[in-house]
Amino acid sequence: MASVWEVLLYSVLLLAFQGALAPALQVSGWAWPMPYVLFWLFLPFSWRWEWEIGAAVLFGGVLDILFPPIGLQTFCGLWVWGLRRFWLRLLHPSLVSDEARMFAPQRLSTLDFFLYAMPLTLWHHLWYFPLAEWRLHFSTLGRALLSSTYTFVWEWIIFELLLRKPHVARRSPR
Amino acid sequence: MPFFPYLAWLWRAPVVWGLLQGIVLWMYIRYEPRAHTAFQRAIIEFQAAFHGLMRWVTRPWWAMRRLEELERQNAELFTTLAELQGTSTYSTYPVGACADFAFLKDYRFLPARVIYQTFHTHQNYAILNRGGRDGVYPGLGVVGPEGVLGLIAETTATYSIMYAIFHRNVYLNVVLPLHGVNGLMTWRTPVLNRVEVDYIPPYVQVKEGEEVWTTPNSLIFPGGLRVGRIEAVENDPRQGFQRLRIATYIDWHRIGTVYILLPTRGVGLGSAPL
Repeated sequence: MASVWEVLLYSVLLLAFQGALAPALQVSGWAWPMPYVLFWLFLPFSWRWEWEIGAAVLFGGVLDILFPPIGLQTFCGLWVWGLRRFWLRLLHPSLVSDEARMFAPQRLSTLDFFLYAMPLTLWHHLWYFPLAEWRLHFSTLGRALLSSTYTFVWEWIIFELLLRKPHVARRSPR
Repeated sequence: MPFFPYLAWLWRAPVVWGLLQGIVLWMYIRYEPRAHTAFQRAIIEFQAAFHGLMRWVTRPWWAMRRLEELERQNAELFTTLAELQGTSTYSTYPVGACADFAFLKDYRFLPARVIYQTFHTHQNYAILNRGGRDGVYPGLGVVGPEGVLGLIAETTATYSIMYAIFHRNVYLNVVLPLHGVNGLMTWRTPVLNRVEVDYIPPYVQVKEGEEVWTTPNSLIFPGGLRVGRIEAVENDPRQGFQRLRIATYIDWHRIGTVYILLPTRGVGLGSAPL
């Protein structure tokens, strides 16, 4: 079970990544890395939902203040948080509620992590880019697709290097 | 929600999530100028669409109310007209046909209805429902709402035969008001709604689109009635003058109410009815 301090540490690291590295890692304006989506993906499932949504809004608010415009990051992040349980039940229909409550994304295999994180990242970006550019154009959708792929690559790197628990067996919760 | 137990059903994750989403989206729209502008525009467009829809839905009621109002006004006007001394039914006149209103004091307009007309002859004419009893006699001019239409050729007590300007024996003196040059209008080419004007001097630089009016020195029509617009200019050096092709304002296929010009003073042929 992830502790508050662990979540706090992740959030600081993801914010630091976004502030320090993301501008340098963007690919000519077409692909932006936004691995901070991991925060909403990896919020502990064992917490009460009030704490979860509070942490999700708080992290989104900090992102909004650091990287304006106000409200956009929180809006997209709440989508990820709101859909992740639904998505988890779609991926693993056999999970009973207790198992779902004890589910830890840190235990996921690489394939399961891809199936869990990639669609939600894509959903986040499909909201983020049209709203940020305030238009629904093919270039906007292309930027969202490329950025979600690029973001997932960085999410995967961070997941493999930092988030995956080395003492936990790499197996699917099924 | 310990203090408001009856609102406990609101304290559920989807409800709170939706509420928060609405709040942050509203904050974003308030903060981002493009989003704010687009949101305002969307609201205005929605309002306009809603108003348009409501106007469309309530149009029959408004039309009925307007009809009742017009009927009431019409009744009042008829009452007022009946009470006035010396008024007649000649008070209306075709504004669109008049380019120069100076002649109005010398003429009055008698409304008439076409009850028969020809189309495919070289001598087109129409029969009007006004005759000698209405003061109509041969030689009077006839105009439509848009322009010159023809002249009265024969009359009975109750009917008149009007020769149209699309009659090959009708010649009309016309003027180009921009140049002050007179010409003779004929209907040589048997195409309805098209006439020719001859004898325009070659030094006059006529342009397409100019208007053609009746000339003041015509014996049939007063000056300043609209005839048509110049459609083409034919400049044949062998003729020694220019010929103009005119698209008439009057449409022979769509004649509504016509007006017979009755002189009120001693002007034109109308001053000496035979």
